[in-house]
Amino acid sequence: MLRKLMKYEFQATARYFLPMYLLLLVLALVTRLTFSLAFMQTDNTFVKSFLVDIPSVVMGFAYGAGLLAVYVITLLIIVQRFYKNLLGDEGYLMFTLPVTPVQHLWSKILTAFVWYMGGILITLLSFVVLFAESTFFVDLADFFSALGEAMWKEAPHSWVLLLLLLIFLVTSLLHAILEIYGAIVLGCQAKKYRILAGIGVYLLFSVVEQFITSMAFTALFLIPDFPMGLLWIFGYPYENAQAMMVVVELILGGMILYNILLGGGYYILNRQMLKKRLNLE
Amino acid sequence: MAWNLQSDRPIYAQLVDQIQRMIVTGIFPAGSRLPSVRELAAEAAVNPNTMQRALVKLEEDGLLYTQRTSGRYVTEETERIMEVKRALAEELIRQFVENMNRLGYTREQSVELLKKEEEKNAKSD
Amino acid sequence: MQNLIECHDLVKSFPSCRALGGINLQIPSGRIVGLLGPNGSGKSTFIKLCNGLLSPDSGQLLICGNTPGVETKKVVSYLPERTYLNDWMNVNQMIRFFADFYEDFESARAYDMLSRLNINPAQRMKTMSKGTKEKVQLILVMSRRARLYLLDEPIGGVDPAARDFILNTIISNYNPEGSVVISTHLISDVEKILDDVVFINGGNIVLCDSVDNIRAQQDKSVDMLFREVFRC
Repeated sequence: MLRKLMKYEFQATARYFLPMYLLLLVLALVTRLTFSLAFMQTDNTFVKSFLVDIPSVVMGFAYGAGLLAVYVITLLIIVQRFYKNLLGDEGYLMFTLPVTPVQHLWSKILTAFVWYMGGILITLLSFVVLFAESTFFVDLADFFSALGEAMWKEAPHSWVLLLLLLIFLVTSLLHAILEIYGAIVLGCQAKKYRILAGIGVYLLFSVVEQFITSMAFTALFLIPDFPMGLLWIFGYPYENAQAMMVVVELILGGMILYNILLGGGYYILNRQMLKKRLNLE
Repeated sequence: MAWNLQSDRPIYAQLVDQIQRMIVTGIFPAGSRLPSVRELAAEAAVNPNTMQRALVKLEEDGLLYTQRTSGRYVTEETERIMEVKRALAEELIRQFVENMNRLGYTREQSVELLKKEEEKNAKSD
Repeated sequence: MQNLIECHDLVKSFPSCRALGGINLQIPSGRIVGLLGPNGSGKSTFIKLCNGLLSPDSGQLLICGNTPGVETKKVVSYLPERTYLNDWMNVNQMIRFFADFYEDFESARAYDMLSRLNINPAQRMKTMSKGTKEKVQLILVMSRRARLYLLDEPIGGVDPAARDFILNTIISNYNPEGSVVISTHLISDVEKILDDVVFINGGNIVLCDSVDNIRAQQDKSVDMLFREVFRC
């Protein structure tokens, strides 16, 4: 059933995302064309300013705005789908399907996650369109193989770091998505001004999280000789060549734990609210 | 067929009356097959259970019978249908006389008026 | 025979009011039941509880022997009082959606009813009038072979022709294994198709009887009795 839910969720959202991605790529392409014009040398200042300088500046801004818009719109669609499809009128249909609230929650989490990743991928792709020269891909492949080789030889630990970074990215996204959903679900307990209430709850969540993180860092700085002092706590040889790397990994690990704890908390909140306190209009 | 249901009497009793009328007036002739309960209910816009109850009552009265496989039929005993028809007619006459009484006409005066009305109709034909 | 709806001392409160104050009700199969009461009497709350859209504060509620959940949602077909159709699908897509999620959904019946009401299945929900949307929704709900149909105000805003279509659909859809619960305050329209009526007021059941009993004993229609019971 989760598969079916996600099928329809993707159908409902792809209508917005795919054209938007295409638009960004087109923007990147046009911007690149105007940039390449800028390298043409001409003595005619009129031609230079109207055909070369102005278009490239305008397109540069347009591309930047487009990039920003992709992220803003991604966020808006994720909010709108959860709010409208589950907690608005459509909720009367969705919650009378033979599907559990947990399946609904996961279908929304996973689609949101995929579209966030999609946003990141399309950003990278647009960079490629924008800057790639003919030798770019060959260089890129060379660069990565060289990097991998170097990491493997010089610092086996950097693989752990890479893995931790990836986990950190994934948990951060899930944490962010669940925090938004939690704010919406609590906001919908209000009788009126549900969206406003949701924004209020979100701000409250942010303030609380800010407080927690600042407290955590204050506590960390109490450790003598932070950050290297962390090693002393974990009993790691202080003078080891990879000491700095280990410190970074420890901090990253701590942030992942923070994401899991808070994200898990928001998950339980969402699940319980959808199960027991569904408050459709 | 027009189904006409009043709001003050049990629906099932009204259905019994109306189907009875349809049988004696030949809309459902003797020996013919009746539409299904669901069809009749949909046509009269009433609950199928209520229609069912009315049909069972008519079976008990001997106007209908059920053949296990093929459905419900109007009885082939024309005797029985005529009996019901006569009973309905007698009831109408009883009501007519009663209403005339209320207006102050005696039984004889009522019959006299009825005859006059009949002659008038015959002339105008 | 197992009751389709079985509830004991069912209580549901909202922050501002007590919506249901301990309801006891059994609905067997093969019945068409009218849930009648003025606005705000608790009809919708009861139906939402039966659908699992709300959770009871206390008491017991069983639908076909189960507490509301995935199993009961498979056999309950629900028509809410508001339109839940999204605006980006057309009717064809909506039919596929229903067929995808409900095993008892019969697409052929849906298309048959659509053609009888002259609704184009390729039309998008967005471009439909409110009345047409309500009809589409009713067709979707009635195209299921469910055990229990819960219809919340199905004839509220529709024209007389559509109302007759709705009542006719309910009658011709009748089967002895299923039951239909219709909540409404427009009693005279539905009275003829009901087996039983449940009067509900202020979150309590004030009367529960068969239509023919009421008419035989009171010499008046359920509609008239309702007006007496709930006189302002």
